[in-house]
Amino acid sequence: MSPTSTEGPAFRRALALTVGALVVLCGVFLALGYLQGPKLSSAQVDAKGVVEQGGQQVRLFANQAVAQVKHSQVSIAPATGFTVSTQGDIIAVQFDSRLKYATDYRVTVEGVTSVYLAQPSTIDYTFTTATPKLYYLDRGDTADDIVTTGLRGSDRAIVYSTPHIQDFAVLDEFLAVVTLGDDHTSSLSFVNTDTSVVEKVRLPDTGSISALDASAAGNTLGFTLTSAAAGLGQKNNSTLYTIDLTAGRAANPVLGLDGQPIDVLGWQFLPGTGTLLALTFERSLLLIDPASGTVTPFGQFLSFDKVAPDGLSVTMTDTFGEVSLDLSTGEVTRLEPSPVDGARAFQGATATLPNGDRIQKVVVPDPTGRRFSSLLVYDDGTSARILYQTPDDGGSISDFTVSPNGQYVAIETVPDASASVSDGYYFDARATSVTTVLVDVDSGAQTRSVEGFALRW
Amino acid sequence: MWLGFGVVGIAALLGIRAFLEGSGFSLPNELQDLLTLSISVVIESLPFVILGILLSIVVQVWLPDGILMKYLPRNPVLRRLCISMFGIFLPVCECGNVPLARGLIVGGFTVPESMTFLLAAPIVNPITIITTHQAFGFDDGILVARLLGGLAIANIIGWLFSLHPRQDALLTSSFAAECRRPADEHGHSRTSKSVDIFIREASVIMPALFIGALVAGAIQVAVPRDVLVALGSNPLWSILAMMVLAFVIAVCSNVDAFFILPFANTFMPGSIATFLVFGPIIDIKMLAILRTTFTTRVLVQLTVVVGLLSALVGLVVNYVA
Repeated sequence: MSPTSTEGPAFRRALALTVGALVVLCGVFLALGYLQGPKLSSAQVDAKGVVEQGGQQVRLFANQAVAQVKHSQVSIAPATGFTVSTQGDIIAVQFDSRLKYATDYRVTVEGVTSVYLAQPSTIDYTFTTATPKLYYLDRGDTADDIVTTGLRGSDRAIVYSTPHIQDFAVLDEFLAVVTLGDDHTSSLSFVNTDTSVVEKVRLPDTGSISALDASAAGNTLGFTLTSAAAGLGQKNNSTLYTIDLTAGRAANPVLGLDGQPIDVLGWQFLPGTGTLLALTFERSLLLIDPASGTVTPFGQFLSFDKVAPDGLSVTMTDTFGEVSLDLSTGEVTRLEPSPVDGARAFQGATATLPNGDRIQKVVVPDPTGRRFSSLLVYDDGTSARILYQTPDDGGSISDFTVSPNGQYVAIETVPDASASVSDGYYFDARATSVTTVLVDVDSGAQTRSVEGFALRW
Repeated sequence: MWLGFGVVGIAALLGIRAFLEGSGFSLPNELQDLLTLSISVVIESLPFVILGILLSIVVQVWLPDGILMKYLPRNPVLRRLCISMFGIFLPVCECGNVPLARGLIVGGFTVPESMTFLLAAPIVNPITIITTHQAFGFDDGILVARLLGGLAIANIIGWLFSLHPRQDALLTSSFAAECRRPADEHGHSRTSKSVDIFIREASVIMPALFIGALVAGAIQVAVPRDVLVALGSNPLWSILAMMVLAFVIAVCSNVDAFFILPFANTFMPGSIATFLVFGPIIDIKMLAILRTTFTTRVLVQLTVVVGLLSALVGLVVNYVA
């Protein structure tokens, strides 16, 4: 008996029908697959990273290897600069600069084709960027609080509380907190924000700390130290120190061109790096990498103002006023304030934005020349618009910091200067009514105000 | 005799490798690759084959007669559906399932019921599910497609072969004769019956495993993998390439998800799903082992239908994912 004859007609028919039906179904789905074009399988983006530093990517994973995507095929809303690259099934869109906080971004890639087929498709992906955790210092009658809060609303949480906090800085896992003793000397402690364990740091000298700053990389702290003993016993005089937390808790002096510790008028870490800029007592601006010991001089200036949020330039003061120094070329650009509502403005502290525009403190006299308005303005080089003005022009603007992505500016202000009372701190004293106001740079809208100062992004 | 041949063959492979490592003498690269690949297939499969034989013994000798039948639904479709879930309680990969499936037939299951178990169990089993989830999570529906695809294929094959009027014609003549042997021919006590079945099953399965592993190793050495990878982005060719790869590589279903994971960036998700569905059912090693039980004609029919169903699973995943 042949194998075929043992199978019977029902089995043979069912087998043939099954095979036939499967061939047809495979053909249908194959055709549908060919007509469909590439699709988005998944996407990866670091919602926190994209607001903290430029050069971050959103990676779009297609369901098949795709042909090279050109820049013109990609659009992003809200608009931001980017580059695009393609590898296998991944389309990587890299943002030139930091994105805005708590914003929905839509990335659309049109005309995506696979490496085999010309059938185009559109890949669309939307993500929301992170909201930053803000820290500020709120001094009280019996204890001072380091508080966290957000960009909007009224939520606040105390993360550390102790008497006489002079200043603080935010590191990856720690808060660096400087407190003032009754003898007017400073103490430095690291506070673990998860465990609340406080670790006191042994300083190289007894004295006062100022100009505290943390690298955006989150593992290096810097400060200047001035000996309590004056005259012959004085070892440090605004001497710059850094502590690399990955290497321990030792404070090491930053060395200048001659290999000696430097005393500085002002200094700041470059955003996103462990490299710092310092203006020495000799008025020399130095770019220093404490890890490698590399020192690059950048010329002579009178005072140190602010490093731009993108770290590409710094505003300084020379004999003739404010200038912007391009750190890649060394080129100096003089910053003349634009008129405010037609009135001449006198320039104060200035921060340069990644697009070249500026946020600056100005003072504008009224037509009589008897009263002056203290303003914070956005200056595009030809005109200035007011970002903040104290109520009835009765207050003062003491300082401001631009958010790392340039979206917001935090303005430290005393609403009524004539009625202000100092908190009496020997160093870094503030008015008891000091308030920090958050303003959206694009719209000029005030989004939030907190009672306190030293807001850290 | 066959058992001795299998054991000696495996021992010889391991011995040659140990000798070469100690002697300083080296074989040509292709031969070394062949040796390594063949041994890895054997080592990977051997524990499961032994576990499968032991479970087969439990089913045939130690479980009360008809205990499995007793709790299964009478409706053939529902019955096969339940049988296709057995793998959840019997975490054995595909090679180990063959002796167990043979035991089920001897124990009274119909051939299509046993086939349903045989095809579904390597996929619908906890180890395979966990490793596939670890490799792919729920990305692109690959895990879901593997489970549902495996169940569907097993039940469709079970239904199809249930229409065959002569079930014994599906089996090799030697195994059909084995099934017809009276139960007490295996020996008097349960222990002696168990020993008898172990020796008999091992002597049938082990040489098939050994030869299958050798052929799988030889083809992997002969076929450049680059050729397969180059086809990864075409909806049709990627699926066919993955079926060929699964057939050639003959990797165990418990670890195949990790094997194929590096290909996931190049190949379309549907082709990955096809690999994970087709491989545990049809590959060189499995065909060699299945030939101990089923006729060549049945294996050809099985391969064609399973191949088409696996391709369909992949094409649907490519369209939906």
